[in-house]
Parts: sequence; C-alpha cells; structure tokens
Amino acid sequence: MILSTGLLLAQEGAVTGASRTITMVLFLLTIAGTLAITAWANKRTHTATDFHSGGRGFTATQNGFAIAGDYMSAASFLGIAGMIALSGYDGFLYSIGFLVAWLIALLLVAEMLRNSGRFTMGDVLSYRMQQRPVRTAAAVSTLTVSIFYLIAQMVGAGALIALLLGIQGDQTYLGMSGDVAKIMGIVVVGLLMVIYVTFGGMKGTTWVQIVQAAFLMISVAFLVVLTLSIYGFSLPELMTQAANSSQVGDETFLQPGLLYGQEVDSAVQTMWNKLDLISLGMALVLGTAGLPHVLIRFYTVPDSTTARKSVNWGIGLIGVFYLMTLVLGFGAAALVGYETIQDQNPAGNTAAPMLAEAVGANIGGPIFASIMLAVIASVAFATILTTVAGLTIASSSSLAHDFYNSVIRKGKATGAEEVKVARVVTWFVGLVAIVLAVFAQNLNVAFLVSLAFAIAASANLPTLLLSLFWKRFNTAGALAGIYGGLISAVGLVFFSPVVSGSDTALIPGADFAWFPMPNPALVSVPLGLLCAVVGTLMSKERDYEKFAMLQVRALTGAGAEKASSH
Amino acid sequence: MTTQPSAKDPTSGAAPDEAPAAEPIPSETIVAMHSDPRFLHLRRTLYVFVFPMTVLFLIWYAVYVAMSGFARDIMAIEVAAGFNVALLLGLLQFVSTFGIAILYSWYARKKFDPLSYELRDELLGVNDKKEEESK
Repeated sequence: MILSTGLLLAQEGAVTGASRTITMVLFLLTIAGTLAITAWANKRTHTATDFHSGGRGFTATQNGFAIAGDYMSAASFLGIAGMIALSGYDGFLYSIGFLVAWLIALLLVAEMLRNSGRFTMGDVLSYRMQQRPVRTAAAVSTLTVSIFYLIAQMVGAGALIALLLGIQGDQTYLGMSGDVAKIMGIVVVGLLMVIYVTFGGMKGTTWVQIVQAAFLMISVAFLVVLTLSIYGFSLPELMTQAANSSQVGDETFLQPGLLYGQEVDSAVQTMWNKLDLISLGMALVLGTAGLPHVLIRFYTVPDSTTARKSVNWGIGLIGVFYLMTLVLGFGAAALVGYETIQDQNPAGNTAAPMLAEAVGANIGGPIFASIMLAVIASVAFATILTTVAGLTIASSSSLAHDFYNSVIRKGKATGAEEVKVARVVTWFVGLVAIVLAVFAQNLNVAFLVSLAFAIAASANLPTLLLSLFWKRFNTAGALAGIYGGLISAVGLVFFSPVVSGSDTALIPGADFAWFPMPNPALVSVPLGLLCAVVGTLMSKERDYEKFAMLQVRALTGAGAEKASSH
Repeated sequence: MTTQPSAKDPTSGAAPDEAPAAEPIPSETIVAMHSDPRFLHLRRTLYVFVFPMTVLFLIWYAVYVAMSGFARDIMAIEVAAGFNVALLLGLLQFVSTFGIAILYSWYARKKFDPLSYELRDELLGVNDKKEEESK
C-alpha cells in the first residue's frame, strides 16, 4: 500500500497537472514575497554599512535564522536528503561535517572577526598588512570561492526547476521544453539574486534569508511529522523499512561505504577512496569558517556577544535541520524506493519533493499530495535563492570594498561611491554567473561545492587564523597563504579524476590526472598553511604594534564598528 | 590630548556618510593594553578554552570519519535493533557539537565577558579620564 502510492511521480513520468499549477503559483508567490521584502529594505538602505552589513542591527535570533538560510543551500537540503535516500549512512556522514564546522566559526572566528573587521573578510586579513596586495588577494579568493559555489548552485537550480515543474525528456510546459526550462531557471535565479542584492543590499538579503529559513524549518518539520506518523512514530520501524527498500536491501544501508571510501578490487584504489573520504571531511569541517558569505554574516549584528549568540542559533537550527533530513532521507528510501528516486535524478536531488508527494498521497489523497509536493518544491526553490543572494553580496562587497576602494581608490572612496560600485559590480557578478552556469549546465559540476569548501579551508581559514593569533604573521605570509592555498586546491582538482581520466570526468576523452583524490583538502590545507608560515618567515616585515591593536580590539570590542542609529 | 586617531587603523577609514565612529582611542593606549596583566589574563582565559576544545573536537571528528573509512567492522556492530555504532557515533557528533556550543557560551558569559567589558569600557573612557586628570 505504502509503496504503490509513492509511485505517483514515476507512473506519470512527471508531476501531475494540478501539482504543476500549484507549484508554479507557489514559485510566483515566493518571488513576489521576496521582492516585497527587497522593496521594503531598499527604502531603509542609505549608507555603506546598511548595504554591506545591513546596518549591523540584527538580533541574535534574526541573524541565526539568516545564517541557516544562507548556509543551507539546495546542496544541503535536496542534496543530502537525496544522498541519505540513496546511500543511507554516507549521506548522514556528509551532513555532520557541515554541522561540526560551525564550532570553528563559534570558537575561533565569529566574535573576533566582528570586533576587528568592517565589511569583508579582507578587512581582517589586511588589518596588520600592506593593504593593497592583501586586499587584492582576499578579493581574488572571495570571488573564486563564491563564483564556483554560485555556478554549482545555479546549474543545480536550472535542473531542479525543470524537475520540480515536472518537465522531463521531450515534454513541454507553458511552451518550454526541458532544456529551455533549465536555462530559464538559471536566468530567473540569476536575475533575482542581482535584484535582491542591488536593491535590498544586506538588509533585504538578510530578511529574505530569515523568512526562508523559517519556512524551510516549518515545512520540513511538518513533513517529518507526517512521515513518522506513517510508521507509528517508530524510528526503528522507519529505518528497517528504509534499509529493506534501499539499493542494497539490508542493514548495510545503515553502514559506511555505499558512497564514500568504496571498497573496490584494487587495494591501492580502495586506500585512495578512503583517504578521499577523510579529505572531504576535512574540507567540510575546515571550509565553513572560511566561506566569505558566511563570514560577512557576523558583521550584521551590533556586537561580538550577539555574533556568538547568533552562531548558537545557527548551530541549533542547522543541527535540528540535518536530524530532520535524516528522517526525510530514510522516509524517501522507504516510501519512494531506490529505483524510483534514481530514475528521476541519479543524484537523488528530488528525493525530498518525491517523499512529500508520497506522504501526501498516503495520508490525504492526490490533492494533498500535489499540495505537499508544491510546498516542498517551492521551499527548495527559495533555499537556492537565498544562498545565491548571500554569495552574490559577498562577491560584490569584496570587489567594491577590498578591490575598488582600497586597491584602486587607495581607501579614499566615500561610502556612497562604494555602494554605487557594489551595485554595478553585482550586475557584473550576476551576468558572469548566469553565462558560466548556462555553459556549464550539461557538465558534471557537483564537485564545485566541495572545491569551494576546499579553497576556503586551504586559502582563507589558515590566513584568517594566523592573522588573529600569530604575532609574527605578515604580508608575505598572508599572500603566500592565500595564493598557495588557492592554487594548490584548484591545481590538485585540475589534475584529479574529476577533470580528466575517468568516466565521469569534466573532460571525458582526456587523461592528464595524476592526483588520485577528487577532494584535495587533505593535501591542500597543509600546503596552504605551510605556504603561509614559510612566506612569513622569509620576510623581515613585522609589526607587533598592529598585532597588539588587532588583538586588543578583537578581544575587548573597543573601537569595533557600531550599529547604525537608524 | 594626544590622539593618534585610529585613522592610522586601516579598517576605519570612515567615509563621511557613515554612522559617526566612536571617539577614537589613542593607539598607544591600545598597544599598552596588550601587555596589561588583565588583558593577558583575558586572552589566556579565552585561549585555554578555545584551543584545547578545538583540538579535541577536531580529533573526535577525525576519528569518527576515519572509522567510517577504516573501521567498518566496528561501525557495523548493532547496539540496538537496526541501530549500529556508526549511527550512534554520528548522533554523538550532534550531541557533542550542541554540548560544546552550550559549554562555550556559558564559559564565555561567566569568565570572559565581564573582564572583556571592563577593559573595553576602560579603553573607551580613557579620554574622559585624561581630561579629568588634567583638571
């Protein structure tokens, strides 16, 4: 009984007409709602502090929700639910790295960053250093991380919107074929993120993220309760059912090894697979506190104590969310089944919406099924929008503040000028992202998310921590650390099986791969750190006075940027 | 009043249309604070918690991930019906993350914040005091 209702999607080969209409209406409502918030925020954005940091007036709870909305991308909602549905325990393992990572942000980064910086990661990195070279490096690294992450999100968005509207194969909807719908999806998402950022600035982006996170938590919690109710609120029952309907059909579904660290015939390859798992874990856990769009969230609150509390809110929301994702993944495995999920999308990205439909059909019949599907689909759509908006504002703030103001104008630009430049640059970032995503849409770009985390872990986090804690650290060290970490992470991926020399490679025919692991962090993080240390020691520059000022400011909050009065 | 204003400080090259910055603190006052025994105590208070704790949770996470790769026999042991060591350790990662966040917040509120506020107020009020002294 349970299984037969779950097959609605597969039997139709697509979403039913009613559900499509409801989904479309909810998509449009989501867009209208977020644009209304943006218009509201536009009237309240006057200064550079408003634009880059939302006036620093957000409460801990508000910023905590915004952190959750910013951080939980389509990759972590649909992606992890799908990974758990298809690969069981290994998907869960992935989500844990995303959560534990926040302890680094909480213990080592959030408060000191809030007290010593102003708008960007570059503010803290360059505090003790020669401004222009270090800010240039910070802007380069911010842009690289953000653009890679953006492309991954937008390519995913295009495919997802086609899937969520149920446009498959040679079907059409509103005159759009699947391919056209994908491009439309990318363009719409790209334009929306530019509009949020140019008009709403950080204030608008933050409020959109807050509202989205609240909707996401509520609707996912609702789906979790409904899913559990089918199994008499017995988690063991759900897990048994999930394991039985999984690709392996038994309890190995709940054990490591289906996705990461796979054991193959070659002992050497098995070893590399397992080391790659550790490398991935390292990128996830060390990358988060070096992601520019995460870091600038700490500037939106009035002081460091609020920054701390907001990270706690973030940890609570993100943690509870991933626990709920576990239920969604198991629910999808049990109710929808491996084959059906895989048919729709090989990575399992539609497992959560499919579960929503199956649960709806099981409890309230076809109409309820359509509503549930539409709700989860539009929440997923909103999840993509808020993450790309966060990435866009991180890029444009860094270009305007680090590059334009400090490098080109040598720090003489006024706030109004900086905001004007940021708005123009946002269009540039948006257009570049749209074009790259359209060209990349048929490539296998899933690796870009873990690459963005690896760069953040290799280039940004070591230099950030050394800036805050190492007295001797200097300009040469910061430059060596950022460029060294960036080049080693990107370079190792370039020579890995991700780009060439495997069936799923980016460039299928070629083979110039010599680095055996798709995830570079295990090597690139130590390399980045080593570059930073060696670079420092090779230069005679030292400015202990600046270090003293940075530390006193970071730990006491004296001289920290204030919230705007309006 | 010998203000070496924080214009020397690169991050506050304040633009005219910004919210007015707080009264700039003389940089030599800040530098002097860095070797003040109370500041050193404040810094030690922070360091003795955050560094060991970071090492601890990173090791605990690394062990967990490594066991998922290299100790699959142990991870597969069932501790309850349908519930194995791997899932148990995974859930314990959630517990430890929440626990460390709560513990740190408690520690920071009790041990770090009061002293931090005291030093901040002293630094911010330093100009007024100087004026009072000169009277």
